[in-house]
Amino acid sequence: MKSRNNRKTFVKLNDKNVIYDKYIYFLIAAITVFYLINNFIWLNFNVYPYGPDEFSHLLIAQNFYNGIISGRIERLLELFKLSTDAIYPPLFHFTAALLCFLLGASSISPLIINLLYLLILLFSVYAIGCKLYDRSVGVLATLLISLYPMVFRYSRFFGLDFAQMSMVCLSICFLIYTEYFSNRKFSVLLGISIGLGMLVKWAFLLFLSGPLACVILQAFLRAKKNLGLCVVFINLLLSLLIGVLISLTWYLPSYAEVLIRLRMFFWSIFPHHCGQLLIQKTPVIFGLDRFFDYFCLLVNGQISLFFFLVFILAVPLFFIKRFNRVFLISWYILPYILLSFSLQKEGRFMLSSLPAIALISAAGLRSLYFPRFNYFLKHLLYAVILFIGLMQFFDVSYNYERKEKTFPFQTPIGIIHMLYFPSTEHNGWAYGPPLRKDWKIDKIAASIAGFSYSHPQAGADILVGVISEDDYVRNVFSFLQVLNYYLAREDHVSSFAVIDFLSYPGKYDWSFINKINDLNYVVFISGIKSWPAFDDLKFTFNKFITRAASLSSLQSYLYNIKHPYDFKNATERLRKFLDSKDRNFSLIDKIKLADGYYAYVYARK
Amino acid sequence: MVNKIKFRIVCFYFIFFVMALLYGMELVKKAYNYKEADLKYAQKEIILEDNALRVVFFDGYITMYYGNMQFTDNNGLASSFTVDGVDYPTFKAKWNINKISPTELFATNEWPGLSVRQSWHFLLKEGKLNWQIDLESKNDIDMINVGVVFLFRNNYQEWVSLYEQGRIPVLGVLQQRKNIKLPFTSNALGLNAYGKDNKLFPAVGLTLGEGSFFNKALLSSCRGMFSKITYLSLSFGGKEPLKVFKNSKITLSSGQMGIFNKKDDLMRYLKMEQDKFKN
Repeated sequence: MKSRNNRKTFVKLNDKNVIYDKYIYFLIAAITVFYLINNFIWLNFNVYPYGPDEFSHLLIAQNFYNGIISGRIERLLELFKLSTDAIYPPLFHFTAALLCFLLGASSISPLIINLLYLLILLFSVYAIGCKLYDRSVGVLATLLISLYPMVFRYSRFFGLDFAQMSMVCLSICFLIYTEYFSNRKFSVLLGISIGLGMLVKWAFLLFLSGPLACVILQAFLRAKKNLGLCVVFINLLLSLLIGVLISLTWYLPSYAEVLIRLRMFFWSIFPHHCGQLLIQKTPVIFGLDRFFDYFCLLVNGQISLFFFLVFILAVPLFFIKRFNRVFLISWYILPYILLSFSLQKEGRFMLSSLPAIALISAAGLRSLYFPRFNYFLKHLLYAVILFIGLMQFFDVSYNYERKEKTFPFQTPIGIIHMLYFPSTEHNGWAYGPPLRKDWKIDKIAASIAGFSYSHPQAGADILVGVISEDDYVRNVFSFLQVLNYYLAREDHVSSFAVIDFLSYPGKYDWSFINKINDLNYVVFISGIKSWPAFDDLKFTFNKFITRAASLSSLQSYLYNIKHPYDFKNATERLRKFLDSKDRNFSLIDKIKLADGYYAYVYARK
Repeated sequence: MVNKIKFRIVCFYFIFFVMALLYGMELVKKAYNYKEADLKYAQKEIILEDNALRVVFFDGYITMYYGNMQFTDNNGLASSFTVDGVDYPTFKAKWNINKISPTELFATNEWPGLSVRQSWHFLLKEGKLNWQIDLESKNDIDMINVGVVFLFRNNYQEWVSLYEQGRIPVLGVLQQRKNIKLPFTSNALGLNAYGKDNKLFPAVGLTLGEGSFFNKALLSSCRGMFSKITYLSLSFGGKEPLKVFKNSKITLSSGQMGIFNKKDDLMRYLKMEQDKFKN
């Protein structure tokens, strides 16, 4: 009889309200200060923020900041409506811009917003642990989550995933504090957090749906017994209504762009699958190997091998002794399955599920029992785990000398190469030790902004064309976005548009040379190398991770095959054109870049 | 009793925390000094030039030009090997380059913490590049995946030897690599580009030296990571294990590369090299 009842218990809550505890405030404050000091040191060592998306987010936040200091409401509303290009909802960028307004605009100050989201995360994880189990689980889970490599790495990254993780945790925290939707106050708070979460990133709902379904199911099962169905229904409806209303403030004005993006997303998946089926003749849609990708990423990038072993130790105990199995597992498994079908697989996409791993590990460890000296030995084990986790924290953050070492692990689908420690290699999204090369793109921006200030030119957008003969522009790193961000930082008033001039139409018959006069500035880079941050780029599991072309890159690839084009010659001809006597451009600056090559900055006369 | 246990536990936490913190502070100190010591980007490029052939050394990259046309891609000429599961490509090594004359260069590369050293000798003579890559070690060392590779731009469409020739494979849209095993019996091989778009690309002839450790070549058309751009990889070795004994020296690769305007000149060069080989 008892087991049958347990089977129907998806969510079992602790009656004790232990959340108001002065010691936990001290612990969370200590972790935040620890992060603050470390992130400050790390970000000061790091000459450049990097990663293509990071700069586009920084640019959006900078535009919000420029909108705030301009004092023009209509400019700010326009930014809110479309959030630059309708890819990202605006909440994260706007909160960062507000912080910049308070602290001053630098490349570090927007990142301090992550500490606010860290506070939300830590407090939510603690509260969830307390409510689902007990205080010890809450404390342990809080410590574990703060030591997971991907969590502390992403606290130094200006992106949406960290904020999304915090909002998911906050929503799940409010969700369980609704006491199966019997508490009106927390139902309203849940609605607000859902709305705000949706304003951070679209994928928010994916992580919330599993736990939400569990609580709703449990609420209706309980309500049937207690005849409180009406209250549950009203509170649930209230939560969802508030969530929808808040999120519609952005989704409704931007619905057309949102639909376009959704269509692009699906189109990028389907041609890939068809292409794979045609060329490799492998059953990629239903193949099992795709479900190993996020497992590999979990071990090698997200929580590290050490914390994975802790997790493996804790899982059997969690399954045997603890409640809330379905609740926590659905938080991890549902996004895992759905995201495994996606074309693009990156550890950051599953970041919002890591608190579930921390809670499962903590709950399992809490259930551990030693026949003798139980209390002492358990705390000794916790202390050792935290000690190794802390050493790993420093090692991943600052150690330049560590070599990446792997060991093979046999699986039914082949050998997976596990890393003993999280990689220090730059993978474009999460960091190892700080980057030290100064590419002086801020100097190029300062040079253009300075000239623009003294020689104002007519036109809505100031067009800056970048001409580079090799990979600066065309390859992986978004030189254009980086320059655009620094220009927005240098000049708060003007609106700059940075373009890759070599991608202009008409380059094959050279007719595009006439369009060079449309440009206000030209940045000519005499580089022959690819972007060095990505030179030693490595994906350990590239065999497992599908990285084939999306529809857009597929199209451009096919176009390039059809129209082979010698960029080297094109840039030489353009340089001659710029330097010719009857030129319309004058050289305003020449800046030596980190690799020894030069950026020539031309302004139209 | 309980208080005593609690006190011990608090002491444990405190000691572990202080130990980790000391480790972290040491790493931060090292990271701070790293800024001054280990960056190598301030290196200047070193150029060898003879007739129309130009070889540029920069930061571990070796790029080759014919006139103004760059015909190598990515790293150009590179070598790599794996020791204890760690890859050591030459573009990550610390280089010490000594330019002997405008056409001759001697360079060595080393990796921190590894007793292996490579010596690269380049000589440009009569518009041809002669190279020799030696490897020596202070200790006995087991290597795997030892290889030397030339990366050419993907404009070359065919490979030629004296007796055979063939098309270079074109990659499918989603393919990463296609290989051709070459009949390197005559120790000489050429690459040729033709067509309106490739007029400026030189024909390239390669001959392997007699003392080379590698005597088989693999030509692959491959795609760079994250890149839509394909390039040709002519690799010598690649998966061979190699045991290097203490204080011994092995010539990994040696040979000559000739650059020609026309395919006929390339064929004449191949014939000449073949005759030399027979004699």
